[in-house]
Amino acid sequence: MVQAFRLPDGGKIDRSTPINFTFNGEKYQGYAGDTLASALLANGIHFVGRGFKYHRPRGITTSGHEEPNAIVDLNVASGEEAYREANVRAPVIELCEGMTAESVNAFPSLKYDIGSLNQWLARFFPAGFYYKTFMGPMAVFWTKLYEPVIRKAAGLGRSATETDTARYEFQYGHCDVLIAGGGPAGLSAALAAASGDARVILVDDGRELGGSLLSDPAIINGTDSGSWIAEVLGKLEKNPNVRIMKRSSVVSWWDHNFLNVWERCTDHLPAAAAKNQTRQKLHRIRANQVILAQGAFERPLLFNNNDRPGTMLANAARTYVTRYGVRLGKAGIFYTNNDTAYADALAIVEAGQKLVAVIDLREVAEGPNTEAFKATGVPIYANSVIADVDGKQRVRGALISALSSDGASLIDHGQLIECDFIAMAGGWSPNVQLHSQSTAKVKWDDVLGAFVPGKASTVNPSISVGACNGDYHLGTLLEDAFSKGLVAAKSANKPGRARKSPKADGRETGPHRWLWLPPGKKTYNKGGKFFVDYQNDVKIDDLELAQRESFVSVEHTKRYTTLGMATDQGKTSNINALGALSQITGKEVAEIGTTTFRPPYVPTTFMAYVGREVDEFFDVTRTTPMHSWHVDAGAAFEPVGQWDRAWYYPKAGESMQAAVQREAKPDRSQVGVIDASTLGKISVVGPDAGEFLNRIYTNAWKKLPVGKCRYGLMLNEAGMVVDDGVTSRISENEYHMTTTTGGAAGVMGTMEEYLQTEWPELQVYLTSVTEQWAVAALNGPNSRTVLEALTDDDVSAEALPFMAWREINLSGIPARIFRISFTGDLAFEVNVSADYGLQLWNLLMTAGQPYGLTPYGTETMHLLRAEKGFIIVGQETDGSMTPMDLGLGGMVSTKKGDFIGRRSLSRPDIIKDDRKQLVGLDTTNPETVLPEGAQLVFGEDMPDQDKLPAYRPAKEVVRMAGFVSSSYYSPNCNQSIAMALVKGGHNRIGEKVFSPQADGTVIEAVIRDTNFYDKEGVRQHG
Amino acid sequence: MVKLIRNRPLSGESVGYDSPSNDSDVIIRELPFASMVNLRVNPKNSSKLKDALGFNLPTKANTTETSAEIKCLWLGPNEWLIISDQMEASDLCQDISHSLEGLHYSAKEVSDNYASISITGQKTLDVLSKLTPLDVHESSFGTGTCAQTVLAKSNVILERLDANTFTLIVRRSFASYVWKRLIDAGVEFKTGVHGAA
Repeated sequence: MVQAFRLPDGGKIDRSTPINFTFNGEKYQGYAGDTLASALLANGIHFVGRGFKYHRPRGITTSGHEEPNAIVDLNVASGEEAYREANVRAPVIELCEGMTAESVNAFPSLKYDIGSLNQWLARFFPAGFYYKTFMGPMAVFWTKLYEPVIRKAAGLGRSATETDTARYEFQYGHCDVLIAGGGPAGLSAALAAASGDARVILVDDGRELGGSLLSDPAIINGTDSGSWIAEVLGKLEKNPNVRIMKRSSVVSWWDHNFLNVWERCTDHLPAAAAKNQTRQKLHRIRANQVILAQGAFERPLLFNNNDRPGTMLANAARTYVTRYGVRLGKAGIFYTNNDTAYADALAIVEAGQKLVAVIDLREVAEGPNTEAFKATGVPIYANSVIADVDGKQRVRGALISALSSDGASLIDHGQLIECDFIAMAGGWSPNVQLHSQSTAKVKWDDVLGAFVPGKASTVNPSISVGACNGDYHLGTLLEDAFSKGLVAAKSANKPGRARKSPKADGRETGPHRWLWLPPGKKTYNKGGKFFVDYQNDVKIDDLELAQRESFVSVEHTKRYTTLGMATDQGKTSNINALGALSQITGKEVAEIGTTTFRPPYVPTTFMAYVGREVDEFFDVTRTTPMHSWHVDAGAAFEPVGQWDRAWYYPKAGESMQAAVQREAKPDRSQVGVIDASTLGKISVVGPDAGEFLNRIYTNAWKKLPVGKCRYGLMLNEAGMVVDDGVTSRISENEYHMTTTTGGAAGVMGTMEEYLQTEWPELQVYLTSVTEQWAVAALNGPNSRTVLEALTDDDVSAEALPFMAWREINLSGIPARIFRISFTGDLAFEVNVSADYGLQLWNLLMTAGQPYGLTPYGTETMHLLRAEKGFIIVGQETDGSMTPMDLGLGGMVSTKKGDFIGRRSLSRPDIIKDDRKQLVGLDTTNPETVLPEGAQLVFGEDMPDQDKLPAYRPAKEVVRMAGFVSSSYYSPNCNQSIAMALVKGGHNRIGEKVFSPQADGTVIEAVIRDTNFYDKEGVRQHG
Repeated sequence: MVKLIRNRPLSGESVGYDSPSNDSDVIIRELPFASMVNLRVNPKNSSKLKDALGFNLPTKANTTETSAEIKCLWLGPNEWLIISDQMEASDLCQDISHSLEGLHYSAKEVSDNYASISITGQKTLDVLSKLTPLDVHESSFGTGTCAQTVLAKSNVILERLDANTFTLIVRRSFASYVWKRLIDAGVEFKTGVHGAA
């Protein structure tokens, strides 16, 4: 079948380039320039999908983004492989070779759909169906009916299950004036705005600019509008300050004119051409001024069975006939409440599409366009309605009835006129969605029967021009948009120089009649199917029911009925619903008000918001100068903040557990080395540096001699430990601070903030030098020997005692050696310029080999420091631990004056003695390792100890005593070791605690101090 | 004593890409080592450094100053980055300390703290605009300006050298990420990577 419904000529399609596509498994042909919708219509297909709730047959209703019915699932093929994209709108899909689309919500097939049984059950699915029934008492309905049957039947397309392999990108943009919409108003505004030095971005969602002129041409500046558009575009494209974005939609408008523009780069291309290109871009644009020129949406009319395939908007009918050369059917009916639609009717008759009647709701069919149409001889039925529609899967006829004088009832039984499509002209609604997103209000206009933009927002001032401002007259809108373009450019301090607005004679229009809810053969509340929101299957009786059930506010009505909550956001239904509500309740529309429009303006692919930030770009991975060595050594890595740190170095077939046990021994018996480059390092310089540290840390710093190091504890204002580290005095005025790996940036920021805002009198400058230094920490009795193999400088205990530092020459590399220890063993932290980090590491590995040097990762580091009871901020602390809780009360100076967190340490809750306190645990069975995070229970709280270990924690409520924060098996202590935070733990040394496990067993342990190894602390002084 | 080997942050990262050619739209390279000093001092002392640097410290936000040997980037009201590919950092620090004798200041070497990446070519702005929210249009970020800004998920110092040439100064551990993002953003253009094998 070759496009049997194509008119013999006309339309902006390329008839010499046929395009093959597949719909529901059948092969069809269209032409280059078609949309999926126009190509389907050219093949005589109106019935393309089924409704959301009742599965009623639905057809192509509009020719644009507002489409509520013609929703399809598309196989998109712009990545490596094709994948499914759910719920795309057929009228805005540009046809391309090989396109494959399927109907939504139809099983097993579009024509024979099981779910369509729902339409016979419609009276059991009223508004608020879900709210009402899901509150019902019978749980069996959930599992037997709602979930498997009703939920399955609801919804539209099917989501993709394949990975989306296409490429998506972000792009930032900046401009003086952004214009949304490239119709006559947008083009005129762009001409003016870009006539000076302003940077202008013109966004249009179609493949070609021109808007309404593409299907409704006019004479502008004495020439046809096609030539005028070409001339304007030629001028704009030559201007380097202008960027024209086609196939792009402004989807959201955030504060301070930050707009997201969604560009479809390759969706119009066949798979082969799109391969490896960026499929879509999300442009994030900051605009100084925004002009809205988005046009208006035509409204359907409300009548019984107004959703039958073949029913479409009048302007869409005109577009399909004139722009795409489509024959919509054998015979059509126009149904209108205004004069303007007669221009559309005339255009399609002149293009060769047969009409058999115009049904006019107005008492008298009059007006300039009506008069012009009368020459066609097509009969006009004034003061009449379509009382019913014949046909199910396609319109077969319309029942025409005459109205009573008050428009409230029918005065005859009507006559059936055979037709196969109905074009509805219910008047126009300015597209105020973006205006509403800008946080501005809309106001009701009685004459236009629509909301128009109200006062602009102060945060995001918008300027609306043309039809979206309620101005439908080509002559005035061209001039208004032009002058607003100049205003916008001037407001951006880049005034335009053009002075001559484009000119046109606009079309004069006659009267209309806003009879929102006409009577029908069946009335809306007596079995009539007056659909108002097609996509969410909301009927007029649903709105009325919501009123009766007290959901009166328009916002409540919306949620209760789901009116306007579909992906089309009520673009075609909003005003009709409000008009109908007005008629039902007797309130003015302005009084009922409208709901708020929210981003995105059109449904947007999720991946557009993700862009390239997937896989390796999901987050930054920071690595140290020695990273390549760790990789070559087969290290497993652990993420610490954004850093990848070597976690452990498994030998072939070695488990993590085994590797850690192996790595932990040499640090006590020979020597180990860890890459500690990630520690934060901050240079603190100035005459007040000591005083500054006194206020930042809990302990005293002014008397620390040059060349010495000291451990410091940092609190927040609440008195809780937030960071720790060793700080060394480099010179009289300079300290070198180290912080935790994860806390570095936060500590730097906090200290800079205090210097700038709290203590500006202190003469201190901070510089982050974290990445200036690469750090290798040698630990173990042989560490000095290894160092001595690489330097002639004196690193003996006399020359470089514990908690001191010095500069040495390490085989030619200048190095700072800090004698600080996170293992409690003899240790040297070697710092060199980061460029030499890898060379340092290799030197150490070679020099250390004879002495058993073993590289160890962060897991072993955690184990070794736990043997000494050293805390890790973030493991032993969770933002609620004071120094006293951690047994570090001695770190708090009482003499030196104020420091951050000091006043909080005397609050009653901080000094009470049953706070959780850090203790050590010896498991009764030394081989048993407590799980980290395990909850602990005191003996007196353990239920019925005779029944242990049959105790089942889920069935009893017990008081928790605390939890395990760190737990390992220590190969150096030959037992399991653990640290825990236990209520009042410091006074419970020697008491038993119990840890009930999920498997029903209970681990028993004895509370002790946290120092498991080398209690006297002699080793670190070696 | 061993031969010192500077291992720059991006050494080895050029492997697997296309080399630059005459028709490259974008050319990306890691710049060789240069001495860098982070200077913090009260801006009212900016003229005191004229002898040490050959110019007054730039006090206008986001501007740079350059002499034959030294370049200086404004980072903040009391913070500058001083760069030289000819002088040792220790000599720079010494000159600064002579000029600021007795004043409160901080001059710390940060040569190893950063990687420097050059991006040039006619599509440079297109690549950068995919990654940075900063407006890099000539009218707001002209030649000779610099800024501490964001590139994808990393902080960078961005400097414009001419219409189509920028230097990105990136914290060492972020360099690989930034490098890969730049190359990835250049995929739709002819992007050449200097040093590519």
